[in-house]
Amino acid sequence: MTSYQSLPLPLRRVVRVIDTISVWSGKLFCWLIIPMVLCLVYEVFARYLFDAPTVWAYDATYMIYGSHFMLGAAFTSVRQAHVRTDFLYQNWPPRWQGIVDATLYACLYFPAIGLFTWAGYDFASVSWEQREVGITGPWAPPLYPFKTVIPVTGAMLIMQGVSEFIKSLYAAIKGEWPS
Amino acid sequence: MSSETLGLVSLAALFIGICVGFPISFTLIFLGIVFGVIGFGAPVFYLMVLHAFQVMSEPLFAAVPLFLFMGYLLEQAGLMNRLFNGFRLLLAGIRGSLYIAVLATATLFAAATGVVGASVTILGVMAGPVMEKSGYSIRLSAGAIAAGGTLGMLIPPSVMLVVMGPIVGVPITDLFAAAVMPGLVLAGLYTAYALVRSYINPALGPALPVEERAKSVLEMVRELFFGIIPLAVLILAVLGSILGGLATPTDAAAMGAFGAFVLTVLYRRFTLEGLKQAAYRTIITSSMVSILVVGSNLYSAVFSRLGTATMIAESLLGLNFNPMVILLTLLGFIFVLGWPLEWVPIVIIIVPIVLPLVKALGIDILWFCTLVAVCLQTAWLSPPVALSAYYIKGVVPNWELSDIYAGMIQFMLIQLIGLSCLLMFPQLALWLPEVLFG
Amino acid sequence: GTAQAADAIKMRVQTIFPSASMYFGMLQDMEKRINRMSGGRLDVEMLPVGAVVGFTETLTAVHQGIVEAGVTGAHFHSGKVSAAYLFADQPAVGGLDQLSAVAWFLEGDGNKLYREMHDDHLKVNIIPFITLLSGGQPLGWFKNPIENLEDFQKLKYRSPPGITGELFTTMGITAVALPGGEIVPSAERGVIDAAEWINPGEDINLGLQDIWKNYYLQGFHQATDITELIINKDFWNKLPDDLQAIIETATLATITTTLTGNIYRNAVALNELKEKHGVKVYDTPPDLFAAFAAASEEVMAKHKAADPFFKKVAESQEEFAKVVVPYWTKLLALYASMGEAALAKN
Ligand code: NA
Ligand code: NA
Repeated sequence: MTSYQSLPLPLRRVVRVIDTISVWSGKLFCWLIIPMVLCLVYEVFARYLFDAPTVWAYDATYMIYGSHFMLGAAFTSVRQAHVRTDFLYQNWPPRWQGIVDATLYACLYFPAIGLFTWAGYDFASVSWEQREVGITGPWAPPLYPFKTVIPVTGAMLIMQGVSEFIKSLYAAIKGEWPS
Repeated sequence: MSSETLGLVSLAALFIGICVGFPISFTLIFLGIVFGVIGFGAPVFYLMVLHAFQVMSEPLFAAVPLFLFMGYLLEQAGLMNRLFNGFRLLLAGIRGSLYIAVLATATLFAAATGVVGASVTILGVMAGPVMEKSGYSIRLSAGAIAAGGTLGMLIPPSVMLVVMGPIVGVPITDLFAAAVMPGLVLAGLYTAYALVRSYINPALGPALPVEERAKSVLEMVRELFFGIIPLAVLILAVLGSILGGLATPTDAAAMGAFGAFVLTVLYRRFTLEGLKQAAYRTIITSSMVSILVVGSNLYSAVFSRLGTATMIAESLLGLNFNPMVILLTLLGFIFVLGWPLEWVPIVIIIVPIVLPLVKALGIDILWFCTLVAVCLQTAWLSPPVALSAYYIKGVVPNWELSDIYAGMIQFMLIQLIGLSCLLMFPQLALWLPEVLFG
Repeated sequence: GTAQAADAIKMRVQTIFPSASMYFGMLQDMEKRINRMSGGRLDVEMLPVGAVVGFTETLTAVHQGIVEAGVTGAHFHSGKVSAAYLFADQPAVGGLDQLSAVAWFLEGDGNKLYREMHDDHLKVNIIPFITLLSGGQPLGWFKNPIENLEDFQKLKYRSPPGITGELFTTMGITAVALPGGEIVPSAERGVIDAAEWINPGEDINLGLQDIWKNYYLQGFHQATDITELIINKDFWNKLPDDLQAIIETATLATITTTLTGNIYRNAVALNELKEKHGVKVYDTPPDLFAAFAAASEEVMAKHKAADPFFKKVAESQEEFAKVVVPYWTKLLALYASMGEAALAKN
């Protein structure tokens, strides 16, 4: 990971702490792929060898999948892997890249993800209040932890956005990306 | 301003957003909200959450991380290396044999993984230096590696087709079945081209010198056996169970990932570090694709609400163009977009926008999807913005980018021949699904 | 088409039906009826499933006002409030049939409790009306004929989700819940050996007749099935009284048109299934009804104990049944005897 020595001290701390959290979240949640594989493998064996499909594999699969990609979103951001079209972007000087990024983070990213987080918080808290259970399978598992993934993802994305915003602001002012 | 015109404005804003280079998912979510507020009012904030939850609850999409994980694990198992060596030893006496070895390895691997990057990189690493040392044409070599590598996204399993299925409302199994023949035809065309060129001009691909050949038949057979058999079993188990109607793509993807894991252990290539890297790459790619689906579903819900897609479809239909002309225009449009864009935004954003038009023209959707898939695969071979070229340059740095481009363009033309075949004979795509699923 | 007033009030209705469904067609008839009755002042637009949101999110979308209204099944809210199930489907407790269940809403406490559920338990900003009936759903499609409960227990069966699925599980049947689009592929690859969907008129579009030929007509699990029109309350309260009355009347009219539509279109579809597709239609083995009644009792007791509101609604239905069933069942027997006599003569 970049050390961002060029950033002034308080900002450097903020960026480092945020990036570290995002990286660790990715390193933690990426392992959800293992239970995802195992659930389905067990289901296939149970269905074809023991002739006794599970009641939980269907719900478990989408719950793990949904949590996996959502909770990985901040990690994907810190690794700069949310797909962009860079045929113009990459040819611009860092100052322009920074200006464009900083403006779009401020005017587009924070409002959008902020509203997403707020609505997601409401969505999940209603589910907690109702102790909502899933009805798409006979298992009827609690849905509220799964729905909580939405505001958590939103909060992580906002946090990572702060770090990206600082980096792009630096590039906009200094004409080079922080290193 | 009418709501249809508003939709056009939103398209223009999207186009600008995409060109500026901000992450496309976030641009889509933002545009969905802005134009949603105009179309639905403030409650659209909630719509975004509902769409995120809908994608999160879709078990079909769970096949995306599973196929990715399977591919990344296989990459580590070092199987591709053994396979390539096996083919190389088997064919050593033939002119242009390394082209065949590269393309055969690539085709088999395409049937085992769902993405492009891995194949191109590994083929470049192991075949590049050997080809250069054996006096092979750099252009033709780079072209064969790039073209073979791109087969991974067409020949099933293909992450692209998994994503396309729910978006166009066609079962993933049908898309898989439809892509098999076109994929094999293309592999055949590539091979034929390389062989014919080498036959006419032996300098392009000389037979291997004796010291490069197998010391004994036993060695050759052993390499080929250990290279092909496990992979063939895995491919048969995964693709066979999907196409044979035994397992859902999601089930089969999980079994495939499990099988790939078993292979890495059996080949003694299992390391914790390797597993970690596979898991990291899986969560990053899966998150990128799925978040983009969320953003695009939100944008599409708003866009279709504005009625612009229907308006465009109707006005184009009103022009009374020949359906074939419109189809060619659409495919050309998608191909051109494939230059600057990756397949992900094209499949997720553009395809749903043109779909009403395709349906109104009475064009077979399955055939159309297969044509789109081949077009997008072609875009991987179209310089100057062709990721395959950078991958190859990255692993074989002493090859000039201009030579790599020159090689890729040749295979891009072959690709256009394949595409024309598919346009003239829709049965290439439609025959296998018909036989399998009736 | 109907001329729309320039300042027509737009009412977008997110339904749970795909546009090819016969029920979607019946809802479009309702749309035209409302637009005409209001002289174009109310501009209703029925949207096929997924147009704005998918079927599980319809309630939230209407509550939040993303769409003004929705057509959905109350049992889809049973994950939030278990009693919601009782407003769509009823287990075999009191012996209510499809029409007497409607009577519970209109003549008994049904509508009062229905609104209480939305206001106090689901806590949504919604006013609900029952409207579309699809009860009397078949037990469904079977790979091989079954003789009794024991045969059924050996099978993997696609059942509706939620408490209905729980009833089958309690009967000892391996119930799998699958969305509509997954049923045919799962049947093809042997994930399931039997499946129910809606009724002949809808099932014929699904295509299970190409895979399995054995059709059991009498299901018990959705002997009554009621679909609702839910309307965002802010929107509703702003409507003038006459438009409110028009909507209310249209929901009542749709009860009739779906009832008659079910009778005729299902009969036509069933004939087509038998004659064109060689489907064999069977009576459901009698021991299944007893097993279902026992399972109903067990499941009802469990939910009554867990949730006082569930108990309140169930008891209201039971009380209502005690009043109407002795009379109404005799009348149903009359129609059944007349029908049987007519069949015997032919
Ligand atoms: Na592939
Ligand atoms: Na049903």
